Amino acid sequence: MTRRIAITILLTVWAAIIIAGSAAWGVAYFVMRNQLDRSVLDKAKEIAVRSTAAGGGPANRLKMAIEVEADPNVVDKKFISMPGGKEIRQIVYVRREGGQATISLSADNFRLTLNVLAASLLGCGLLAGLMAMLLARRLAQIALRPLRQTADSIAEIDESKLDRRIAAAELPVELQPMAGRLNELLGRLGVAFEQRRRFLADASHELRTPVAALITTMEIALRRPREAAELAETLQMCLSEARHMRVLVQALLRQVRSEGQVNDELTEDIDAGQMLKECADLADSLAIEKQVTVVRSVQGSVPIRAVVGRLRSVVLNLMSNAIEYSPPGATVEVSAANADNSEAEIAVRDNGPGIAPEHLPHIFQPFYRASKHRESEGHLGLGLFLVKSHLKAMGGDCRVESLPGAGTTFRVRIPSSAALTPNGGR
Amino acid sequence: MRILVAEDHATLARSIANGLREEGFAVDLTADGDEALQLTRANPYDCLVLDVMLPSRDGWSILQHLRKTGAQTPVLMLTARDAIEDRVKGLNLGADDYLVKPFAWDELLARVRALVRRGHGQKSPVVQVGDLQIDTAGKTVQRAGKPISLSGREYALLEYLAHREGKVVSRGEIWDHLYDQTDETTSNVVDVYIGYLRQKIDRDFEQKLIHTRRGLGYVLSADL
Repeated sequence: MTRRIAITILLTVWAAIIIAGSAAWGVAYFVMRNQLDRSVLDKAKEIAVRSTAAGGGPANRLKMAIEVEADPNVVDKKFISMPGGKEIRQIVYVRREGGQATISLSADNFRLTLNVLAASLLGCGLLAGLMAMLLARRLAQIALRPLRQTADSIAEIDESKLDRRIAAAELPVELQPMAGRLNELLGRLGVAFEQRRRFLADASHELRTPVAALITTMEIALRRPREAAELAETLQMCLSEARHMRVLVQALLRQVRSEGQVNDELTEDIDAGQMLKECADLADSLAIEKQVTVVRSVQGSVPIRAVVGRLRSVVLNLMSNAIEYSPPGATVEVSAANADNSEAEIAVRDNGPGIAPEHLPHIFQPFYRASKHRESEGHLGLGLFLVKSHLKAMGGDCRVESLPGAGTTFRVRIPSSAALTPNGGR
Repeated sequence: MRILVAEDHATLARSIANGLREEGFAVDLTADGDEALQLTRANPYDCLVLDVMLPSRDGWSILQHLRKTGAQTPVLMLTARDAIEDRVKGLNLGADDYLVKPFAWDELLARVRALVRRGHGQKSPVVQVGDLQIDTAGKTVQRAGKPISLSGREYALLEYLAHREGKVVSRGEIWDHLYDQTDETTSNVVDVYIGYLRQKIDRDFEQKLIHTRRGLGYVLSADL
């Protein structure tokens, strides 16, 4: 970058110097040649005067002088190289009384002067070019210093310093939009890294307590000789603890996978109603166990574009939550409909106890549990977080409405399929 | 020595309680923050083991309430987070010690013992009463250089008396510090254990160390 700018400046300056030098030499050439020609004519005059003195007739002398002094009818002017490296200037003119006269004068002086001039112009040009080169480099360095500083500050940024920003105001105006975009990028990366850091911190936090339980239980068991039955009981405790940890680890793995891009997965055009019915069939066994009825409500076709595995996980997650929190005898209503031309909506509604308003804004956060009891095994507070992650990856979203005592509705928005035109049936 | 363990992870809580009981501590257990606070008001604990994350009221809040009412009970905080600011917060709020999960059982035990000792104004793990020497770390007792073998309860009783050396300790106090909520015994059982202790510690010696203050309680002292 620096080099390119320096070269540009250098070439510009150099071209200017060459043009100026050439012009100067050209002007000098014409001026000096005219002077030379005048010298030649002066010489002619002198010769005329001398020849008069030598004995030419006065009339003749006068005529010649007048001829030369007045605008002579010059027919040819040329430089002639003489043997021996000499050069002469020769002017041929037509005499008024007829015939031609040719006068020559040595052009050595003229040549010498022009050559000296050319040499000094060339020398000056080279010198000026060299200076231009140094100047250009210096100028480029000065002009690009903020850019270098920016590069240095970018080089210092790593994942632990994503809160740093490029000082856009110090950059040349042309570069400011780029700095602005870079700062926005840093902002987005910062948010993403912070989310990931939080998730990891939360996950390790979630793992610490069961690990502590395992270690403590086994350490105490090993402190003294125990009966086989007591040891079996301890092992049983450890096993259930380890199983709980397995659930957690699997959920973490699922989360890591769900964050991946949807691009390399197969997005399909499917019917949301069909998907909903399949999921409801799967959820029925759980519902029967809890004496809950699952009511399906799908009208017409609801074409959507989604990753089947992800969407199934979303719907099953919401359904099993709804069934779990419903009292015996209650109904869980699941529906699919075209929301508008670009999106479809899948809703899961229960008549359970609802979610308290203070918990509502947090339920999609990882490891958030409305009840702080860790007793309910398998409830890690990751289910709804996964729902959100899956939907985000597919360009959808999930919202929740809940009234304590009246029940909860989860509304999933998912892009409609472009291949099939929604028939608007609701 | 009576300890309250407030921890909502069932397995961990149960294991800590079992382990402490095996070491001769009386242990009350709760998984709820509010209940923990109520228990600290109702019983004279020698040490509290508080998890930071508890339902209904977290460990910080319990600690704060406790210190606000002037209770000096030593507190060991258990936490799954080891951020420096958490430690600082705990110590600022008046926690006496801080342990990050997962911890080694021996460490928890050593810290609980140290806190109990400090709570009773003892810095050294060895308590000397006349020629009676009680090593609270190794839980061994010697009199005049001869080792004395005590049962868990007997040892706990002697340790408690030793911590309050020279002071009259009532039967009720002893019972409060040696038995947890689940014990169905009455404070009469204290007299029985005092009897056992006298046999093992005082019977063969000229100088008696355990003294009865009629209607008040007992004193462990070499100067009476």
